[in-house]
Amino acid sequence: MGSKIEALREWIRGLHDEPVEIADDTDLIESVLVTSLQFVSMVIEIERLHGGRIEPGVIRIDSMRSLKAIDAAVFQGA
Amino acid sequence: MRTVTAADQNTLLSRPDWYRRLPAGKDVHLLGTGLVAVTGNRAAREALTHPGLVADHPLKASSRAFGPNVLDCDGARHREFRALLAPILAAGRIERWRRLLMPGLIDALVDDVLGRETEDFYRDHAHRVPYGIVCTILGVDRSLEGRFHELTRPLARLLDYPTEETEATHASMAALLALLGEECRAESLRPDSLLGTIERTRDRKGIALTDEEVRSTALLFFLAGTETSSAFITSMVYCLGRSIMDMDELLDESVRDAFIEETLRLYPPVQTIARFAEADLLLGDVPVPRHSLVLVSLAAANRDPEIFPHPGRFDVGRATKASVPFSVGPHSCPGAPLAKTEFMLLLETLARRCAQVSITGDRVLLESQSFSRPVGFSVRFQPRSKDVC
Ligand code: HEM
Repeated sequence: MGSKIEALREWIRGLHDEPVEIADDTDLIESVLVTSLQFVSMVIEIERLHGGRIEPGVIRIDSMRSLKAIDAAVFQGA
Repeated sequence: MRTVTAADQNTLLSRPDWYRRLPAGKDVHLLGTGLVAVTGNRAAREALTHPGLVADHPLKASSRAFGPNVLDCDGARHREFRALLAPILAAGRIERWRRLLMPGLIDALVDDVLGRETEDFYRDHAHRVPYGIVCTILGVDRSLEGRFHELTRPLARLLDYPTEETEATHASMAALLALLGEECRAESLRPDSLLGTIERTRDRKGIALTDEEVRSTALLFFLAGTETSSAFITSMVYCLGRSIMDMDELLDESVRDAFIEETLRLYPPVQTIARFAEADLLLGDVPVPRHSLVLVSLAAANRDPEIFPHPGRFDVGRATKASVPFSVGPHSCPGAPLAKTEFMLLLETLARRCAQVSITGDRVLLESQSFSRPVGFSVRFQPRSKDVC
C-alpha cells in the first residue's frame, strides 16, 4: 500500500482517543471506525490526499468500504 | 468561525434538541470539516429546496440498509418513486379510510385509555391507530401488526444522526424485508393495497422498478407512516395534558386544527433532516464545501424567533404558516393529508369522550431525532359523564 493510504489510515486513527487496529480489509463503516458524522469528512480527506476531484460515481459503498477498496478505486484507479 | 471538535460533535448531535446549544442569532453553523448545521427558518427552507443539496449518499445508513428507496434518491428516479406512491395517498382514498377504517381504530384506542392512568402511552397505546391504518394500506395481514411493530421500532435509529447501527437493527431489517417479500407474493394481495397499487402503477406508467426497490419503498413507507404518527400522537396527548385548554373548545374543528398545528410546530417528530452538498455552494452567506453533510433542524426552524414570537410558548391559534414539520421541497411528506386526517379524528373523539387529560408525572424529556416525542410522563384520561355526540 502506498503513502496515501497510510496517511488515510493515520487520519482514521486520529478520529479515536484509544489506539485502533485498521486492517486493509476492515469494513470502515460497519465497524463504526468512521461514523455517520465522519464519512463525509473522510471523503473530503481522500480527495485532499488524491489531489483532485473524485467523481460522484466513484463514491460507492463498495469502493469506500475498506482501505484496500479505496486504494483500488481512487489512489490506484486515478 | 468557531468549530466544534470531532469528539464533541457526537455528544452535541446525540441530543434531539442539539440546536439549543448553538449560538443564537445565526442560521447556518459550521461544526467541523464537512459538517454544517442549519437552524434558521429561511435557511432551512433554502437548504431543503437547494438543487445542490441531495438526499442520496451511498455511505448513508438508510441507503445501505433499505436499499434504493424514495427517501434516499434524487432527480428523475425520485420523481418516479413519488409517482408510484401518489395514488395510494389520493384524497378519495383518505376519505374512504376516514369513514370506514379510522373510527374503529380510534374508538378502540380511546376505550382502552379512558378512566385509566398510563405510565407509558407511547409504548402501550400510541402505535395502535397508525399501525392499523398503515397495515391496511400496505395490504399486510393485520395479525402481523404486532410483529411489524416489534421489528420496525429499532430501525428508527438508522435514520438518526449520529446513526446507531447494530446487529439488532440489521436483523430487524432483514426480517422485515423477508416478511414484506412474503406479503408481496401473497395471492391475496388486494388491488387497492400499497403493494397492489405499486404493481399496477409501475406497469401502467412503464416505470422500471425491481422487486427489491418495491420492497424497500414499502418498508420505508411503513416506517415513515407509522413511527412519525405514533410519536406525534404521543406529543399531542402530552400537550393536551400540559395545556389548560378546556376539552369543550376542541369540539370546534378550527380549534382542533390550530391545536394540531401548534403541536406539530413545537414537537415535530422529524427533528433533523440530512442532506449532502454535491458541489461547493452558499447557504445564506456561509460557504458549504462539496461533500459536506448538512443537518437541517426542522425543530429549530419551527422555533425561529424572527418568525415565531415567544417561540417556546404553546400558543394555539398563532400563525403557523412558516412551520415546516412535514419539510418542504421535493422530499416533503406525501403522507401529511393522511396524517392530519387521522389526528383530527383522534382529537375529535378524545374531545367528545374525555372530560380532561392530565399529566400526572413528567420528567420533561425528549427522545429521538427522527421520531421524536416526550418520554417519561404518565397521563390520565378522565371520561365525560356522558359522551358528546
Ligand atoms: C406526524 C406525521 C408525519 C410527519 C411529521 C412526517 C414528516 C415527514 C418529513 C419531515 C419527511 C421528509 C423526510 C426527509 O426528507 O428526509 C417525510 C417524508 C415521507 N413521509 Fe412523512 N410524516 C408523517 C406521516 C407520514 C405518513 C402517515 C405517511 C404515509 C402513510 C408518510 C410517508 C412519508 C414518505 C413516503 C416520505 C418520503 C418522501 C420522499 O422522500 O420523497 N409520512 N415525512
